[in-house]
Amino acid sequence: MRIQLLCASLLLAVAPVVAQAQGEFKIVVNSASAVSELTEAEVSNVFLKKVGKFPGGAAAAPVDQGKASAVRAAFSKKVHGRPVTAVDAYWQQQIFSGGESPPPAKASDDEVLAFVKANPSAIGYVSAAASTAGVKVITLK
Amino acid sequence: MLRPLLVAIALLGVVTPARAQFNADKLEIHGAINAAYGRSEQLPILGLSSSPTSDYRNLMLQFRYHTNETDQVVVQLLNRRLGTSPLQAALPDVALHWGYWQHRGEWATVKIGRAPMPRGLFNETRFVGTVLPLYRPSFEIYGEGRETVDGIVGTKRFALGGRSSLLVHAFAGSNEVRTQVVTATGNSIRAFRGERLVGSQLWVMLPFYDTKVGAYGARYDNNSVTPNGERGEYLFSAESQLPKVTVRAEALRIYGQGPNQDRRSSSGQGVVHATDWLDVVGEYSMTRNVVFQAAPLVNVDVTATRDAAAGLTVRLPNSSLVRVEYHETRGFAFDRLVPFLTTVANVTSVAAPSRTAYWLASFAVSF
Repeated sequence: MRIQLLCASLLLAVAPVVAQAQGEFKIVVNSASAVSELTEAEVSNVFLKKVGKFPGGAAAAPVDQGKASAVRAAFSKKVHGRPVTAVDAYWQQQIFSGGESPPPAKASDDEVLAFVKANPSAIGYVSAAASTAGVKVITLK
Repeated sequence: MLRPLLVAIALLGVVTPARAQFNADKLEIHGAINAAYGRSEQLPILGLSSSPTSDYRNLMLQFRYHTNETDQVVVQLLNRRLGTSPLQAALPDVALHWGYWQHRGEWATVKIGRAPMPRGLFNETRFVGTVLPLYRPSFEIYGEGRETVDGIVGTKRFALGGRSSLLVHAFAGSNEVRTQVVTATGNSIRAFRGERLVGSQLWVMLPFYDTKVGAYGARYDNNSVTPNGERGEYLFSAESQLPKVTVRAEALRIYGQGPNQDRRSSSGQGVVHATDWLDVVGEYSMTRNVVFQAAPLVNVDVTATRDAAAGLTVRLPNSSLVRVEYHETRGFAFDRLVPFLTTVANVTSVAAPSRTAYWLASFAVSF
């Protein structure tokens, strides 16, 4: 009984932290996309262009936010597990080693949403407060 | 007269449709500069002498044109200045460093033309100061040349579950090397091609600490003014990014004929990320070389170079940085001939290693 109480207390203590990390941004795809959930590793691989497709086989076209944006900082830390500066260094290495070039970066949630609405392959992220009418919000497994 | 006319017609045929199809949104331009000011205290080495120089840099301009969602044409121009290095005379002021067509297909990515050669941790980015821990990657491992492949490079990534993956590069074609060679009788500049080149670089990406472990192997025919022959080389690499420290180690062997060679180099490096903007770097590299001699003399295995380096990097906004570094080098490979081998009565003895120390202050930016 004491152990169950301890576990419940721990869960209660941890739950808000997890919710906060996931609650700072929403990942969105085109409303016609068949994708509804992805793991963090799958999202990271798509945004770092390590893969060009979603797990189901459909083409993936990631769109980023500006380097200075708070939502990009939260997304980078949660999904890539590293800060924006480290991801920027990754892209410099890719560009000058003949690899891929980074996804297009949009200046605001509205621009990301417009890109995602217009592109059936698109995947982006917006701040938690943004209205996501007209796009599909996917969950992180 | 006929040939220039034919060339002009051919160019018109190529250029006119291309201009008609040009779309500025599909063009990306990237650039990088790594410019240094440096001096060697005793012997001249790597283009640095006792007279300080600022004629020391690498500048790249890269153009990528996306012809469609899967294909792009990449052209990279390179300007290198090497101070007082004898090698400078063998390098053009501006070189077409890369020029290739790339296709990202269902099964793999393919590059055709002059493409960067996947070889070790830093070969493709060897001139890009913002992604290097010091001004240049270990000279013992990377030396000069073997930067590109004239031919085809294929790349395939295999998912191993989670964040683990296997990255396979395979290449075939030829490549070009212009380098300064130190022999028992003097320094010379050699330009040669590696023909019938085939090779591969494998990387295993592991899920902990962004660790990657690599193995590279290649063979080629060494075509130069000296006797030609078959060469082989292999290189093992490892890198791990701990929370505040990045560690790297590489070991290389180049062996074969044309002329005879058996070279073994190794390098170890640690980078302490003291703050978000300050890195402290330590590096130690060495090369052992077999000096092949005609009978009745016996071959001599020599520690050709030992280089110990320390550096400080201050990261600035907008992908730029300033860096200072200090190297102490002992051995026999300098820009000027130093005492090396002495043979008396068919017995060869090796001179004491010469020594120099050099420093570089550099600025790098890339976009």
